[in-house]
Amino acid sequence: MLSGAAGLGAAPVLRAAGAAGRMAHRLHAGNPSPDELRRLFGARPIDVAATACRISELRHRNRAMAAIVAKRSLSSVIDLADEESVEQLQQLRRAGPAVLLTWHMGTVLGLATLLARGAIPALIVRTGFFYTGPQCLEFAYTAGGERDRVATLLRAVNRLRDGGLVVIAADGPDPAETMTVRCFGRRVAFARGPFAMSRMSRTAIVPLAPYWNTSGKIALRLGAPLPKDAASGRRDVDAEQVPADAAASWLESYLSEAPHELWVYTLRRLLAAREW
Amino acid sequence: MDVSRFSHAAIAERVRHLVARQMPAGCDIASCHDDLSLGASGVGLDSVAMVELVLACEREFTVRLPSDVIEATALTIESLTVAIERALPRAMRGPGV
Repeated sequence: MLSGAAGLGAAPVLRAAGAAGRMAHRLHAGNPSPDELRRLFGARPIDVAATACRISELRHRNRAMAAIVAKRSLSSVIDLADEESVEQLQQLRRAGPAVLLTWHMGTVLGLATLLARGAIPALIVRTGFFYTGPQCLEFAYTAGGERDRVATLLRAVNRLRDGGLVVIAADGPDPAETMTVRCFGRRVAFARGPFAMSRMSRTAIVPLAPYWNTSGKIALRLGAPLPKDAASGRRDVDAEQVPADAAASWLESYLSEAPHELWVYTLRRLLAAREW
Repeated sequence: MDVSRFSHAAIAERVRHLVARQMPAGCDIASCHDDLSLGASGVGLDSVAMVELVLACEREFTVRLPSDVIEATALTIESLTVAIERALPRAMRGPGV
């Protein structure tokens, strides 16, 4: 689709991709089934058929977004950023250092787009998917083995100690060190990295989720900073469990309210987790 | 100023002491030579423990170690010792550094 629409701006290509996803949602095993959603959300009052269709729309729109960024760079989509959400991030930056905690849901590359639009400096920790962005964004990768993981974690801690922002997902694929949290009644593994870097740098963790709003812009749902284990004074992994549990609670609450923001990857990862 | 406190051997000894605090139960620092990887293939520290160790070294020697202390080479007692030597003010370094 992208190659056939080379002269178009990103917005119409993304709209067309979303429409194709709605139409095709029953045809491809890569799209979720209503039954899968029923298994995750249980008795919650969710229209699983309509939600499955919207997740398929999101999936196709995100694939088009990733293709556009890979082909043309992040700068080509910054006009899709919702200005109020950019201002929210500006305020967050002025408030001091923070770990911006994301998950694989909502708008792919949405947070990076918002940061780029606001020229907000941040270190983005990723497993893979190399793409180029404006100078305000730096990237650190964890896919290369132990040395890369350690170097990236240290770089993130130093960035936070210097007052900066670090973006990292809690649900990256196969993290080396994990923590178990309860989410949707299941034993879900979160990457330990975000919680460890917050503890070691004594900085806040702010959960957030980028999403496509009804105007086709990339907007942001910003959570409150997660609570810390301040009372006990513990300094090891146990102290990371309090914010990790709170992060899981935030995720479950957000997805219960906006189930159509689930990625199929995340849905199936949650379904594969053992029951608590 | 007693620069012998910051000789290569003295720094290495203090780093060994810090490594011992991070080591998994059942491991003995006495069996670790200075070039042994502190990671999974050697001492067995995980990535969080290795970063904790770097931060502990920073506190111990009142220095700031650059993020690339780990990027160029595997983390060992020797590589940490050299990084600390480089980060110390020149006047505090031991003889021959």
